[in-house]
Amino acid sequence: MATLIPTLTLTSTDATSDTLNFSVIDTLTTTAPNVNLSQIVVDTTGANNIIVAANDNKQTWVYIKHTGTTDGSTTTTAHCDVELTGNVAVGTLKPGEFCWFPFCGNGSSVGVQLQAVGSSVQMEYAYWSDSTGQ
Amino acid sequence: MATTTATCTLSSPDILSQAISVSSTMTLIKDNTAATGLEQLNYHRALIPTGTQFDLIPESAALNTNPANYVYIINKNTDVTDYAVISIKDEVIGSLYGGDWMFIPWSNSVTETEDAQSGQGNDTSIEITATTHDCVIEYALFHSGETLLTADDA
Repeated sequence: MATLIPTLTLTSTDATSDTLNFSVIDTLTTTAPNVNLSQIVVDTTGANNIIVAANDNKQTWVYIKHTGTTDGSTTTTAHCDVELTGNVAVGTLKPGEFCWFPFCGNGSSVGVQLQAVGSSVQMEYAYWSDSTGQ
Repeated sequence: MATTTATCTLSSPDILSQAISVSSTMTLIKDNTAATGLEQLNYHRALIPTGTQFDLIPESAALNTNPANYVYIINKNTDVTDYAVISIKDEVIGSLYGGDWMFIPWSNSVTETEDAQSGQGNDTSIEITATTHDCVIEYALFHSGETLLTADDA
């Protein structure tokens, strides 16, 4: 087992009249299976780009980032949908954006997939299983 | 026009043979544009009682029309075994245990075959169920549209 420390900082000087600035830190104890940072060229068919397979209720933490490129060097404005394989899109990542969320599939044989919109994009992702999860 | 940035750092002293630290920063931008200016922010704190699934962030036509929404949710319980299940369109995403947080771009237009940014998918809400104990949940929704309800006595 290993320790993973995710931190989120949200800042803005003008979203509110008082400065917005806070950080949250979590401490996770991880176990196999996990996939450290990887890259994938995502096409426009979600089923081709399953990054986390259905895992029968294993609590997993997922990090996904849009690299802003099609291949690591050619820039693109195409965005990429983050979806559960049960036909639910969580949201869309535009170039440079990231997300971090827990995933468990709830024993329903659902995984996580990516689907580029319009043209292929290169994405980064990683996931770690949480030993304290259900 | 408000400019808000989010930074995610993932670090570990022992997940590999060497310590790792990865950091990424993004600016929250409006739908289909590179412009900043998500000038609306909802910050909410709620006590979620166990056993019932609630709409934590209800869908709305305005949010669907302007689908550049960013959501931060944290379980503020201090007992790390207390958890709340987060779902979208009755599809479970995952569980937030005490102290856990998540940050996602959210579209409440959620049909897999539709572009999540198209506004043509099924509208839906972010739902939550506290499972073991009541959970204190905080969330922030950064967005550019909100359906305002006319007051009954307007």
